Amino acid sequence: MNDFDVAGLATSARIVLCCGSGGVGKTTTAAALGLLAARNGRRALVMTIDPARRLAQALGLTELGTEPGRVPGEFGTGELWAMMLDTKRTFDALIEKYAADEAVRDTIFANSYYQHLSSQLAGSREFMALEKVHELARDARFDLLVVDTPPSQHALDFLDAPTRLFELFEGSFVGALLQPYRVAGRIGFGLFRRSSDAVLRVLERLTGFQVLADLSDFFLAFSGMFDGFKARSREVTEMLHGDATRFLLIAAPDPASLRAADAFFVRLSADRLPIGGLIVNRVHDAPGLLDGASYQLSGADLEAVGRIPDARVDGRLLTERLVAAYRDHVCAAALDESAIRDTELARHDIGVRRVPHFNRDLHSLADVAAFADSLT
Amino acid sequence: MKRPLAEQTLIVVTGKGGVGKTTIAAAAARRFAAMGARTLLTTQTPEPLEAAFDVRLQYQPQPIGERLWVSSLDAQHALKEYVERHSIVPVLYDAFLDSKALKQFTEAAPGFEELMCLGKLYDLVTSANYDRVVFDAPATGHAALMLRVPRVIGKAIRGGPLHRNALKLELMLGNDAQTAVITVALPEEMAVRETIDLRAALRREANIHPGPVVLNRVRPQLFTVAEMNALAALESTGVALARMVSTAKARYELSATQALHTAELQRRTLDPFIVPEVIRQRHDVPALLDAVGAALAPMLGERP
Repeated sequence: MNDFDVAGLATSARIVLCCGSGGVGKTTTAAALGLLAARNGRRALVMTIDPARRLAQALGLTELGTEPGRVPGEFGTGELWAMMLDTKRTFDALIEKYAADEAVRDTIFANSYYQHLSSQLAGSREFMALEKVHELARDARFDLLVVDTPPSQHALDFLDAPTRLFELFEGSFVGALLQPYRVAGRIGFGLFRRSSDAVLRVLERLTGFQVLADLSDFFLAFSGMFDGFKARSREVTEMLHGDATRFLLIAAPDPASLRAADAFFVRLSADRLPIGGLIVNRVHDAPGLLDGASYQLSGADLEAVGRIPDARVDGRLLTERLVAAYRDHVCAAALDESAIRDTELARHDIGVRRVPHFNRDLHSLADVAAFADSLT
Repeated sequence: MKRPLAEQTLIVVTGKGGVGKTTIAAAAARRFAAMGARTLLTTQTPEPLEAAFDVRLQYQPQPIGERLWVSSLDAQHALKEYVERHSIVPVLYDAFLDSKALKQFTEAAPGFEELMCLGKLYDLVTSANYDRVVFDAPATGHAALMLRVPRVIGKAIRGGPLHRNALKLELMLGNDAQTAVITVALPEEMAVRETIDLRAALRREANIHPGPVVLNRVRPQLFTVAEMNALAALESTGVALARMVSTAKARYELSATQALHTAELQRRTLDPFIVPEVIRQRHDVPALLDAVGAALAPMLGERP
């Protein structure tokens, strides 16, 4: 449960991947890390998925933010860059790269299953995020990439995505789908129909035919690109295990988001991926509050509130409110702390940094800087 | 304009990840049951409900209180039921259902799992076993996808059992006398924005008229401006008072920020039902659900 050196991480790592459930301040944390690195003379690129509008504006991410752009501001010799990840466009670029010819490329682009896969299928966003990271990791303009990972429905999609996609392509079902095509070329579904086994006939009956036609069209066009994609995927895996790569877990101090962080931790450990630490945002800070907390005002304090010379202020009522707010705060601080201590992470040697609740939205560059200050 | 629920049988609860959908769904279900309605609480993602009720959810509804049942919606299981109903040669389907091929197909085919789960939901809603079926739905992005699946599939597949199935689901979801979609938000920028976007998407893409908005975990403003000014002007305070003034300031700022986001919803005529944050009973699940349920009473159509 020891603290860890967040600023040191920002000055030594090459790739930092921020993992956590939605709404825990991942984007702000990623931006603050980039800012810390820039202040230390590094050239940092923050890659984000879906930032809050005003934070996006602060980072200079307007409509055209899908390529790296400089964030305005003075960072000494360092530079801060930011960009938004565009899943669909990244996927399209990969197809462009690996498609044997224009006909194959166009077939894939026009295929409705591809359109679904590239924009919506669970895991494809994550897959493409990694693909873009891999591409930019070799870009000489940047010393550090900070990646704000997609808020996954299932937190682990981010890591499983490439494997799942390949299993899908290579699986027996797809093989079965492609088989008649491989034998017969593109003669048509008459032959496919005759040669299909009971399984396919059941599916056909249940689903109607177009779904199958679309799927097999897609996989047929795609089959020529497997090798390119697989080589690419191995390189991405190597990158994630690299010496200068760190996974940073981000959470809020509530049980659900800490459970998600735990799930990440277990999974990352199983894959021997390097964990930088846990950052818990919006913690009710309690220095001096919890020890011998007294929920009363007495003596001079009580008199001071009672003597407030303002007709609109009722001293007795204000005293009650002060006590109520204080009790809420102390109680929330205790709950935050016990939620953090209850995690699996707490039982291991993972550094934990608590960032206090700012009690307001953080959306200007000055806010990001204030957040960054609290990390040093 | 703030309209409480009417007699809808299906109550879908959705919202951004982490806004407390499960808490709202569970509290509403308990309250319905307490009001005398036979209520089923069901979900596709059982873990949060299992943690809340300390029970292992099953596909078959099981009772966990008076007039209250819980269950989970599992696509593979729902598909098995569906196939059995349409089957001619049951033996064939058994072999087929256990196959890895089927699992891969349902994962690959767009919207297939969602369609199967919605189909099961339809069966539960129309079974006459329950007066209310509360569906603790997936988070915003996935929920929007799920709720428009019937429409998309109904268009893509012309004819056959799947087409008819999709059509009746679209009718169920689109009928706001039968289905209420509750969107849960937090008084935070991103959650409010997602709520507004989700509601627009449901209207546009799924022909669903979203129901009430719930703003969860609100910390009501405790202090007036005059009080904060007076506290700031206090000279030489003792340690206890100094700490209280500093927590008061934090609370004032937080509540003021939250009020801005509430106003943003109201500006878009999405006047939310407010659920205050439950701090002291956060770890006592029944007490938490009772407190949230009481706050939801106006939305659930209870007269004060």
